[in-house]
Amino acid sequence: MVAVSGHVQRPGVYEIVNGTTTFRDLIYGQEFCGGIRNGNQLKAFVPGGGSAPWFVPDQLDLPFEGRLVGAAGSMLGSGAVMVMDHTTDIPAAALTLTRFYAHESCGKCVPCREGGTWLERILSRVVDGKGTEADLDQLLEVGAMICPGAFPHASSEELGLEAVPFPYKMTTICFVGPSAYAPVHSALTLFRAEFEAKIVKRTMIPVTAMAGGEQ
Amino acid sequence: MTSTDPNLVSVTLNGRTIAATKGELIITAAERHGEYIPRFCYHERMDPVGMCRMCLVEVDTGRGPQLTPSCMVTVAPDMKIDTASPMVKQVQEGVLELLLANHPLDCPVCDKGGECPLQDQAFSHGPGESRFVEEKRHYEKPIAISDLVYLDRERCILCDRCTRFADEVAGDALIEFSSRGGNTQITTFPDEPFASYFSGNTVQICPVGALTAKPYRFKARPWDLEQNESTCTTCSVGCRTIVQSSRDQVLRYQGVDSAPVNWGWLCDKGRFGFESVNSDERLTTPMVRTSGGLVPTSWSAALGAVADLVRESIAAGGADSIAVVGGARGSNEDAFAWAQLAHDVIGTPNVYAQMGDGLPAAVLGLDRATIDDVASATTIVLLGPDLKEELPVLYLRIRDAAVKRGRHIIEFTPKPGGLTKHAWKTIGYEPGTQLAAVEAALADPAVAMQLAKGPVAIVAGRANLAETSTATVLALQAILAAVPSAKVLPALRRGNVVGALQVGVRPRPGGLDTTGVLQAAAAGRIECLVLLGADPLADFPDADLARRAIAGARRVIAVDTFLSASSLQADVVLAASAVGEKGGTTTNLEGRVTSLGRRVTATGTSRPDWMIASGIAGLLGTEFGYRSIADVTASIAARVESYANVTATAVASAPDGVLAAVPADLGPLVPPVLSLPDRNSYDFRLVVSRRLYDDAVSTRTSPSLAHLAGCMTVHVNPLDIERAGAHDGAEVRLSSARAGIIVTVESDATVLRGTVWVPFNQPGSTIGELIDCTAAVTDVRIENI
Repeated sequence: MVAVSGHVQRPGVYEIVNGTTTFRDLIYGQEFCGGIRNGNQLKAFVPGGGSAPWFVPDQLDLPFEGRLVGAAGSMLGSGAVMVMDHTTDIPAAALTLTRFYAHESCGKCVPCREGGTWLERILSRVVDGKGTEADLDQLLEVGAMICPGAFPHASSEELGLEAVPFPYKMTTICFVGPSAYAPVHSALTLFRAEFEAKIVKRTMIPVTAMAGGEQ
Repeated sequence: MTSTDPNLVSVTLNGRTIAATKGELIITAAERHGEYIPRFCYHERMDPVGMCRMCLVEVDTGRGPQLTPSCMVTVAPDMKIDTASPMVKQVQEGVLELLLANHPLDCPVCDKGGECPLQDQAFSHGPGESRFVEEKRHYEKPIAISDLVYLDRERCILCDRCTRFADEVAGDALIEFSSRGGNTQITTFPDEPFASYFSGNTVQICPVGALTAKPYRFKARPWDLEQNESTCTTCSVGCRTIVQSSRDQVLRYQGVDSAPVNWGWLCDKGRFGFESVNSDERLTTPMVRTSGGLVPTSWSAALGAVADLVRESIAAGGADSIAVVGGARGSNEDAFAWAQLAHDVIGTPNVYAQMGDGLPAAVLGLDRATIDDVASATTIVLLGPDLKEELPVLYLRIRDAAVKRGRHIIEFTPKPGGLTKHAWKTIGYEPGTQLAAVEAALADPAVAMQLAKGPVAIVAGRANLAETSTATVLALQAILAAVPSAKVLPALRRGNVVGALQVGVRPRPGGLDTTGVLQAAAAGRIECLVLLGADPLADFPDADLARRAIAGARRVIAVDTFLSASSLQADVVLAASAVGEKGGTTTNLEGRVTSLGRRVTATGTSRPDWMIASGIAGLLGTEFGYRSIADVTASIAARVESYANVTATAVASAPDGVLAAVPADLGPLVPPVLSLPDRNSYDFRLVVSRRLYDDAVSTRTSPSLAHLAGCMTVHVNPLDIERAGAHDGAEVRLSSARAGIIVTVESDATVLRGTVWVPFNQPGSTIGELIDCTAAVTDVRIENI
């Protein structure tokens, strides 16, 4: 059983055949979701719950099969598929998920408690249009404190990206911490341009005089 | 590795093979082999929780290197541990940066700055700078979570050390985490402060400056502190401490982890009681009584006066008419020098260190248990006071034995106490009926089977000050008869009472104990009564006898640190130095001899007791020849058989102290005769025992502790209150055959029916008026007024 939400014609809970049904079947099949709403274009989808790295249309033909999805850089997780069409504000969508997990953190271990909150705060600044270029790198740096080493993501022909497969390393006790990072990482890796579009391009004011001190 | 020792596990640590111990955590194995793994939440005396993630290392058990919390995982054969890989380094820097993200970094004004694990490990393992530019979390701060402890939630790194300590070690789960995620914080429960006898330990183990203790806040910076290792003499457990001072003032006690004794813990009374050393009320000079009352004088005049009083007394009534009581508050050296003075120079047999609230000294001649013996015994028999109130750190050790190590406690008590809820069996008894209670328990096949399962240790002391020790001694002997192999730990309370008794502050043949001395004094047969740090008016259970004794003794000499109720009545008061101002050795209830640290200059011209004794002896014509305290220590080793192995060198080189031998010269524990009175019209049997905080001078003069003492109420079982026609909170007259007092009733379901319980020596207490120290038990009645 998978639960599909988001920008499809018919969101709902569907029974699929594990290993046979593909994501394309699920999203576009008439017996399932019946395609994207209003005839829009598919932008990205989360294959297995909010903590799963995102897929893009490149991965539509993958069947629901754990090892294949893992090798492709995500997971089937809870079986909650979230579909985003081309109207989706990707940074805002990532923020929604990260905020959820930062709030979900039990607060017991440091990387999740502090890292999740930190990610949420940087991301919400970026979404508000008050971020800087450095913030985007900082998001990945903070993420690396939760999940050091390579983090899984999908391949993208358009961006020339190879998939990084599961699993990842983590410094937390449980998967809530990495879950706060997964949407940030996927969104930034696959849609960095959208983040950059939200960054205020700050220019340095040229310094013409010394700010005091001895001449 | 070729070793075939089944307890060794061969693992690889950073490329080299080491022999770890089976069941050992990676973090301890690595540390033993020279690789310190940084940590915050891990504490060797508490269960690991793996929360701070600072101790993550890479461990390969055949599946490739995995990030593993080294405080949570035990060593396994052929484990490959890497504590210094680039990945580990990256993780450590990341965790530290996260810990510091919301930390206020107010190190310059933080009491912990300079001795802070967060600061230290940020330097040793941190990234060097923070990239956190958001606004930090803000909380109101500091908030008082108890009378003694303040919490700064901004500094807190939520390591769970204090909360774990409160729950797991102290058993007072009064602080907890609340909220979650980034809003997680430490809180107390509404309207319930962190009122634990052990709260100061949370301050010591806090790895940041989040918890601070009221007595030390903003008093000093760690690098200004000078310190000595010492032993706490507040009670006879003998917890190892570090005494820290700045500008010649004692400012802080920290617990030292002595494995056989205190495991690093201290009770708050021991930790904060040092304040009395700095009290303005301390005696700074000797005083003599003139027509105008007690006036300060010089030492030569005071000692001369004492020598005169002693000579006059001998002339008037013989050496036997002189008595010395007390001596349990000083060092072994103090006690020994005074025993020498009394016995050998003056020639009186009337010397005793106990104050009518202990057990006969012969108990110290029984096969002595150490604290470890008790904690590792299969069965622990408690036949004594509420250890939580009287010997708090012993309570922690026995609680740990019961809760974590599955030891069985059989508790005989007239009033349930701190260990009752951890006891396998609690047998309540009415004072005087101890022997019957023990005999009935021994006849229970379940108890007999339990006692036969393995080693038995008995913790024996005085559970009730309103009865003689007779019934307890009979019960102790009955248990020993049933389990002859049982070892006994004497639960005597005063700091060095065991040391004083063992080095000679006890009657010579024909001599009187304290009760006998006070009776003789009251009868006018004592020409000179010496109070050696003793305050019978406050401390002796029988108030009337104490009063008549002080009044009846023709001459009273007091050696004291304060002008107590009793020393105010003295003809000469000699100002004594306090703990922290003098060195020497002390003996705990196990017979363990440890060193006392001399940290600060003595108050005023006060002198240690041994020096005073030595001076008086000189004036009486006997030179002890002691030039320093080391001479006295050597003299004890040379002249007290059981201290033959206790040389200054041996004590100095053994961090956990030296166990003195069990003294062989204390004589047998003679079975006393018990004669219980009829109840007559006195319906309730009186139980009087101590609470940790009372009106004792050392507590009263420690500003942080003074207000923690309660007040005197009579605790009555709710069903008995009804029977007596009283109600909770009512003022009643509580009368014994001796006297009547007005006291407030407090309903207390833990009190056994037919008994009432009253705490001893609370501020304003008059309960001593009801107690006749010669009566086997005290019966009282409750009358409405």
